[in-house]
Amino acid sequence: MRWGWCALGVWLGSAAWGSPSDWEWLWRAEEALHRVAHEGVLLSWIRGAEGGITSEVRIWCDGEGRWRREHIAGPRRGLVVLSDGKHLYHRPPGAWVWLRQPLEQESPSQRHQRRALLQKNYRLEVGEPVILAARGALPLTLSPLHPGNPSRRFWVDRETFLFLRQEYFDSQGHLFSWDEYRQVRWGPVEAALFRPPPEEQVRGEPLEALRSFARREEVEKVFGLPLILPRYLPPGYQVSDYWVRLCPDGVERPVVRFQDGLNVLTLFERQFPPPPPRRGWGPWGPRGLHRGPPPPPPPEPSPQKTLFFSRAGRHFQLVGDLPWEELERIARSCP
Amino acid sequence: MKCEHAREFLLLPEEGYQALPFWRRWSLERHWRRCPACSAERRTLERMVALLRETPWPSAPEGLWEQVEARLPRLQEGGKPREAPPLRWAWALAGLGLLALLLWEGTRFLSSKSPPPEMVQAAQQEEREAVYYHTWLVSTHPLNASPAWDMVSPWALSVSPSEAGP
Repeated sequence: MRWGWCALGVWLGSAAWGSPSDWEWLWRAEEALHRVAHEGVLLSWIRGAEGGITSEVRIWCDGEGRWRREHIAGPRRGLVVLSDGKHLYHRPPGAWVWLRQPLEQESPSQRHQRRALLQKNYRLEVGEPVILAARGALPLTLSPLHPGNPSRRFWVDRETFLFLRQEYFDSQGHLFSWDEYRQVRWGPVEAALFRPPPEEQVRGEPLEALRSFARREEVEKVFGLPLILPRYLPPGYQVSDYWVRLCPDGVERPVVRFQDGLNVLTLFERQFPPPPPRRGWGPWGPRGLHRGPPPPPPPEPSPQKTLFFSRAGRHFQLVGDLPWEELERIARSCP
Repeated sequence: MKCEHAREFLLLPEEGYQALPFWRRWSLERHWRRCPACSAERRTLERMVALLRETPWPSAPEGLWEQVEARLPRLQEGGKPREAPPLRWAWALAGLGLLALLLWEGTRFLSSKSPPPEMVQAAQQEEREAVYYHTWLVSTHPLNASPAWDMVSPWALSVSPSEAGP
């Protein structure tokens, strides 16, 4: 009888140990993203006028952190994005130049912190298996515990953990984009596809002038003034990193990133005052919060919003996907 | 302490400032140390006061007072000097206040009316770059690795015509 109980205990233990928990599905999928050698064709959709914009994208991945994607149909047809594991290279449609950007490397402690935040602020539900791209996939739904935040749905390949389909819902709960594999071929991919472009065809991007710092005091030392940080952050958010960026007058000004494990808000200190707001009357007018227009460069709508404000003679731009009221509350809380 | 509050004390004369309680002076000093806008205003005011102090006072010509006195109508003995009704002073003060307010608004309006075009362009560039940086920070999140971000990122627009190819 005693042996029977022991055998049952070992069996239950091994079952619990051997099958990944709900969150482990997501962690494995994150890691599999660029660690599964494959090539495939994705269909990508983004919200826009007249039913949205659809693109067809070919993707290659060598399983060692290097990948390449090419837009073969849609408004960005001809765009190539390449990663050699250290940098990202973008070749805009029809251009001969490659734009190089640094690839942000997440340290193990940053990853641990981000995942802990995600688990604290989001609920993960695993659905019933379905068939996608002729593969068995498990649907995962990541929903915010605090309303007014974006959410995601993923369909994870049961064998390789690759995301076969992803859906992005903005902070209003509206579908913003989805992408889905239509064809996948597993196995090695030709290495030449991942070779970085020759140096004479590469131009560094302003992003290379963005410097990251581990601590607030380091940024204050570079900038020469104390940081102005909001006293209010929406539930679940916290400061995740500090940066400085080079402004047009040659001064490096602070950039602070806040996140809740999934959504990201960025506070930029600016050289220039906000664009002219609605005129107030004398010193007793409105407090100078100004909702910015949708960002001009991308023709497609983005869920990201921009808020301008000034405090103590310094100027700021807050960018993120949150309801306007929350962004304004954050801005008002800056001392 | 808020800037509006701290600035009320900027014009206080030295004796009045020293008469403030210690904690008030301490909190004002701390605010002025930390706030670049207030400290700049304080420096400007200090320079202005120093300039005024250095400016020599013009001296009155000899016998000026005697001349003024001679022109004044003599008061009747036992009579009282005529006083202006207080209401007239109130109207004058209100008029001055209104004038100051109009000047303040006018200056603000004129100064914000037409910034130079190169400044507007640089400000817009700074704004675009911020959105660009943010998009990059968002798209590098492991759960945002989606080709959909290629659509909202302004990569294609950052290429000059000479780099755009044939």
